[in-house]
Formats: sequence, C-alpha cells, structure tokens
Amino acid sequence: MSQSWINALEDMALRRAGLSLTGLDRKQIEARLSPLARREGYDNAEALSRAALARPEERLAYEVVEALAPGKTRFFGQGFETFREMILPDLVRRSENRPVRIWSAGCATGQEAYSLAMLAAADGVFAAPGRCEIIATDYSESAIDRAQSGRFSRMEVQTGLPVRMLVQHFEQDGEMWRARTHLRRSVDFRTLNLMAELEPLGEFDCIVLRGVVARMPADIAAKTLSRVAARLQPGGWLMLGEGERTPQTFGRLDEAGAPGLYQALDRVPA
Amino acid sequence: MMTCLLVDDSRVIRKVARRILEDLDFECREAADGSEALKACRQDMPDLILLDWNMPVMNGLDFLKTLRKEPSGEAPKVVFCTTENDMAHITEALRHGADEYIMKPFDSDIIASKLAEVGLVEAA
Repeated sequence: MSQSWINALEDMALRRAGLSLTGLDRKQIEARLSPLARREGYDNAEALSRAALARPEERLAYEVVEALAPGKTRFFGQGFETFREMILPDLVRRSENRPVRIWSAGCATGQEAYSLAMLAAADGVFAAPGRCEIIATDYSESAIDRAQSGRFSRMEVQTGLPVRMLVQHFEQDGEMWRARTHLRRSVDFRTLNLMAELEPLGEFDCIVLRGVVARMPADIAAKTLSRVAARLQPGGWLMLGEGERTPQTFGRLDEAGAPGLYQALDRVPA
Repeated sequence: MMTCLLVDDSRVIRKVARRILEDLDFECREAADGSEALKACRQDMPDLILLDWNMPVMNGLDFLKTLRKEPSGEAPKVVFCTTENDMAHITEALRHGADEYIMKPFDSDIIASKLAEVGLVEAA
C-alpha cells in the first residue's frame, strides 16, 4: 500500500519530464522531497506527494517533479577538453560568416553554460559582440533562477573552475561568488521542458546534452535525442555526457572521435 | 611517487591534508611555518607545496616570494590553502607565482580538483 504513492510519483515524473526514478529507493526519493515538504508545510514527503498527485495541474505538482530531478553540476570537467580542442576551432571557422549558436540543454544551475561561455570568451574571435550566442535551458525554474543570478558557493567555484578564471569572470558577493555582468550577459537562460516543442529554439552549431538522457527510460531517451539532434545545423556538434551514447538505429549522426561526441552529417530528421 | 610539502601552523590541518594527499599517492613532509618550509625545500624540492597564508616566523606569501628566487624554486606547483578568502589576497598570491588557490574549508574533492588544474593528478 505504501508503495502506491511512489509508483504514482514515478508515473508523474515520467510523463512530465521524461524523468526515470528507477534505481532510487524510497529513502532517496524522500530525501529529495523533504525540503520542499517542510517549506510547503506538509508532514513528510508522502503527504506532499499525495497532495501533488491529487491536483496534478497545479503548481505543487510541478515543484515536486522539479525537486525529484538531480540538479547538481560542476564547472568544466569531463568533455570540456574535447570542446576546447575539437569543437571550438570549428565554431570559430563557422563564425566567419554568421554568429554561431550553442545550446546547453538541461543546464541545471548554469555551470556548464558559464563554462562554455568562458571558453568562448578566451577565444578572441568570440569577444566581439554577437559572434556567439549561448542558450541554456532547464526544466527547473528554480535552477534557472539560480543560474541567472550567477551566484555560486565557495565550494562550487572551487570544483572544476581554475582560480584564474574565477578572478577573471567572478566577483565576491558576501560569502558567495557571482558571475560578473559580462559573463551573465553572455548566456541566455530559459525554462524549457525537453518534452515540449523544440523548433522555436532555432538551429544550433553545437548542442551540449549531458547527464539528461541517462536518467530517461530507453524509449524516451531515444526520442529526446532525435528531437534534440534535429536542432543541429548540418555539420553541427552534439556533446553527450560520460557513458551516454546514441542508439544504433539513430541516423545521420556520425561519431566524431571522442566518447559521446557526434556530428550531424546532414539535417537530422526529427 | 610525487612529493608534497604541507605548510601550515595547525597540526590538525596538516593531518587532514596529509590523509587526503596520501590517498592521492603523494609522499608528504610537513612544515609549521615559511622558514621551516624553506629549509625543507633547500634539502629536497617537492613537486607540490600546499601553503597556508598566516603563520608565525615567516608567512606563506613571504615564503613564496623567497622560494621563487631559489635555485629550482620555480619547479614546484604552489597551491595556497588559506582562510584568506577575498579577491585581493587571491590576486596577490597569483601575482607572486602561486599556481592555484584553495579557500578553506576544503575537502578531498576540492583538493583533487585543484591538483587536476595544476596537472598533478588526472582530471576527475
């Protein structure tokens, strides 16, 4: 009987955000929900979940799904060497005729998007305004709010971020560190559900989608990958996270010489 | 095996840092202030120096300035590890040849990340 609300919760997370809770036990689910339960005045995670499940169209249900999604990211880390060495030089070449567009999909609190922006800024050609557009999206409104604020804890700015980049791109803000205006302005943060229509975003020269499809069930992951990849310009880059692969059946994406890195051969059909 | 010199006037901090660095396969020596550290470096230059700022006798910054003028004093990677958590201290440390900067409190994740930045351990 007590499992039933967890099953219903799994179902809701899957339908809303393509988020799979498989592999999480009850304790882990409760741990993710308790802060929200306390804030909203519920006795525990179960009471909160039952209230959200009873009124799935209301804001509370959205916030429950938001709390269930793991939002922890770090600056730079795995994959960024590849971005610097293989993708960036190609983007520089592409930017000769028109601005290049980069999409950080599932950006959580923004470290990935800011890391991309710092690398782009380090490459002189992108210093000119309008040469490089970075869009960063996440399902979670609270994550996007935090990303936009550019505020990070001392702990966060010390894992993955070289101190010289901290000095160049951040300023102190009490106990926190805040991305300077030039860095904050270089990324356009938006709330977006990857299950929704993606066409309005336009097309991209590079899409970074890390740690997103790994937490989706296989069929939804495949569908999401093909819909995201459909937003690539011909020759555009798709960068997945550690251990993430496109399925065998996936057409017109070529493995591009690094783990999880692909290039669109031609327009990818949605 | 890589070598590390831990420079801090707190024995507790040295012990905590030592445990983390030994887990990362560093052979560690300890010094309680800048002048002890200088002696240790003249004896045998380490690959890495984890350096506190405020210490009696000779502070971390004075040690760093002296070290960088010593024979082979440019060789070690110097990572400050201090409660001086403001931009002014960080930029001053970098100007005098520090390679990285850790703001206390630290943990093994931060140390591993900073050592990856200076190229002494594989990136996580």
